[in-house]
Amino acid sequence: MAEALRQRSASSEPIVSAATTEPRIVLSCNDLEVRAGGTPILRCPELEVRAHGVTGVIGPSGAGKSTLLKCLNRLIELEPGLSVRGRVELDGTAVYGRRTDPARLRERIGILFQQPVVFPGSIARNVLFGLRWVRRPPRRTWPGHVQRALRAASLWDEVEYRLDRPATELSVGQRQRLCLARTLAMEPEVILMDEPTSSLDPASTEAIEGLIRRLAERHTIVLVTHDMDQARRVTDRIACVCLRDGVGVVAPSVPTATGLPDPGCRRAVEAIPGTPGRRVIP
Amino acid sequence: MRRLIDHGFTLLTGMAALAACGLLVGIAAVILERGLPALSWEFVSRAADGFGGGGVVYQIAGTVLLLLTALGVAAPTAIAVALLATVYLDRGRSRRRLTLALYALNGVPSIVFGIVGLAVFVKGLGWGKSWLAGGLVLALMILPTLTVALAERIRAVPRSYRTAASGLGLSRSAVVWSVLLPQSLGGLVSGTLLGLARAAGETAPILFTAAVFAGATLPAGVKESPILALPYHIFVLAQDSFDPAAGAALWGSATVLLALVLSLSIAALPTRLRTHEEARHG
Amino acid sequence: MTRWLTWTLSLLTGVVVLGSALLLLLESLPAWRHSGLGFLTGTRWFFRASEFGAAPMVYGTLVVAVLALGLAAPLAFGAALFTAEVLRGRARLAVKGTIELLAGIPSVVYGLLGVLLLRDWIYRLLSPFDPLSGDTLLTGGVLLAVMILPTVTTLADDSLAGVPAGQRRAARGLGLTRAEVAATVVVPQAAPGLVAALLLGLGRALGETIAVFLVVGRRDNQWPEWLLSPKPIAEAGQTLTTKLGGSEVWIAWGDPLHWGAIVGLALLLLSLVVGLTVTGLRLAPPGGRDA
Repeated sequence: MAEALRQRSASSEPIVSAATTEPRIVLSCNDLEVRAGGTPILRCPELEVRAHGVTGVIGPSGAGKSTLLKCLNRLIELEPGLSVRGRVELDGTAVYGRRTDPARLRERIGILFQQPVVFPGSIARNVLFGLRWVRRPPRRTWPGHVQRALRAASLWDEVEYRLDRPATELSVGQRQRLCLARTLAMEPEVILMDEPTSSLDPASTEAIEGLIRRLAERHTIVLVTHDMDQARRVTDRIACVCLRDGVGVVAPSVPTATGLPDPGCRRAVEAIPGTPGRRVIP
Repeated sequence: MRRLIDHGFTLLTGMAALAACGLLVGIAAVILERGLPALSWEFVSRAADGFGGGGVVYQIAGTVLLLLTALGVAAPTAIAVALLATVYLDRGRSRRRLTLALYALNGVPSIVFGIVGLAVFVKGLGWGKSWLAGGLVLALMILPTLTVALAERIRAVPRSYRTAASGLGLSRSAVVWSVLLPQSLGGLVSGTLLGLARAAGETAPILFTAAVFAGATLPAGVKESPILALPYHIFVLAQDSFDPAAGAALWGSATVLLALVLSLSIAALPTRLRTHEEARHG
Repeated sequence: MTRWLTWTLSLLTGVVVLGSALLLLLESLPAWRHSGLGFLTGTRWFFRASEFGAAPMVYGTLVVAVLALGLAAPLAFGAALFTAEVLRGRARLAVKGTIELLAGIPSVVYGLLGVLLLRDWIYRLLSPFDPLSGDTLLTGGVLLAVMILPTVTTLADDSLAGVPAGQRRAARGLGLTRAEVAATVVVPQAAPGLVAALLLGLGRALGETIAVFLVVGRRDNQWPEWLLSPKPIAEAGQTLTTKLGGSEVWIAWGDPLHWGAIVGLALLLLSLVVGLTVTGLRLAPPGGRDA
């Protein structure tokens, strides 16, 4: 069973760019622990995210994948009742350092949510939303920023002639790409994606997955997914979160091609509906 | 700079919130500081002597009588109107109109109720000042509070409950009695508490319809049977606040009234806040 | 049976409410017939001379209400931003609960504090101008500001907190600070609700009787020499509600014209407040836009 999974992942030949030199570590967690009240809910002893590639985070729902993601850009601090301890480093700077400005940090680490969140207003306004307030580029450069970001998010061709229309006119798939464009406009080093395709139809999912691969050439991407197939299609390395005694535990990442080493994680991932190899009990 | 503005924002808004909360604490402190020394068993169990001295037992009794009358009239009416707004009126537009009318009624200044009560009951029907007139006027005044709280809860009863009950062959009235009302009892209770808290403290509606300062005990009939009431007592004493003898009775009465009103609204608070927060996150 | 009872009671309520409005209209007819539009524009009210001009009372009402709103709004909006944007979980509930309790304090208690504390403070504050007493329109305005503060705060908080949490998270994820999120995402979307909060607060200020009654001085026929003159603010005045709460109401009964004028004032007040309330509700319908 586990053997079969490993063979399948090996034979499907994921798009892994074989690294010749030891790649740079952009983001790393050490002894990270998230607590709700007094009880730990997520532990991450060690996690490294390598530059220019897609690191997948997989696991059953409720294990704490999204929580882990939010720890990386301190968005976790907006959740009431949760506290974080441990170290997270972005290119050598301590993410939870006393002198780190969370707002500055989030400019460098963009995030894409499960459900696309568009703001009321036009498509162009949505793309510029963060940029306008955070970087304050001169007004004449706005159209250029909009075009570049929308092109990078593969949305330009669909909205080129209706940039002034309300963003709510777009389909869910388009909205998700609009959110991506909004994040890309900030030129982040790292992009966190929290199951970005879970609310999308197959066609939009394919479009986003293609995009992720292309973006990985210039950005570092952390992708939370609950779909092993998607992980195989898109990610280079993969880390697994699984529940042990009610606490989500993050196992260090391994190359996606070699499959998951930890048997507990393998079982957890196989139990996710839609994962091939899942034993269906009649 | 951005960080500075952010800190300034937190600081300024925090000070505003602190000032608002501080007002409550300050007001309560001033009243208690002066009122507590005046409180004693004698004070709440003896009759007033008519010159601002003595106790306030009949003022309390009168206020309670007014509240009970208002409750007895308003509660059944509120149930009826709430059911009309949620169950029996099928069209969204007439429902919205009814809700708007309720909120408009809620906004009517209390003195206008007093004038209407004077014209109808005291003079029109020739009752003179009467507890019943005051109770009826107060009932009309608190009707929107009760109705809106109950209707909110009835709307929150899951549609599936109704469908399931109807599926069992229950008639619409049976569904009302077996599902809707029991499920939304909390709304009626919290609405009632809030309405009573408001009614207990109101002076303007009973100014011309029910309350006198002295010379009344418990009413024996309807016509020419005024009552004493706490808020009116305070109102009259406050206009003559230079009399030092009135001082103690004045602050004592204010403490008793405040305790009555605040315990009613504190009792209603948990349900009320919970409903609001649920509506927000649900 | 249930259905029948529901309709009967509801219709009865409707008849009572509409009947009361109609009553106000009919009973005030003598005054309208006597003074016409002069009832609204006249600046003199001498009932023994059958002169009924409501303008000074409308003026007093507006001065007091606008003062109250001007003082309360910044504080209320600040507090609402704090409870909606900064506080979370239990702290938020505690502060919001406290503010809602503040809204429940009876107006006669506010009036009492006005009589015993505020009146003296205002007197001292105005002492450079040699005031006659601490009973002024300003005193009424300040007292009303304290009274409507919780109402405006809690309504403003409701509309701010109604902006979906996902939007805040998305904007924070882009690197905006809390203040920037409030300014760019939350406030623009909550704007109609904030305006509604102001209007409903104004409605409450216009209709408040007892507290203002105790501190405003209740001097008739106070009319400013020029419309924006600040002088009457530091002097005693009369509002619609304080006139309606005064003993003149007892005198008026029996003389259809005088009573009509009193009821006319009530009608005027009613239309002012209900107009504001309905406008406020149009802007931010209770229970969300679809309700």
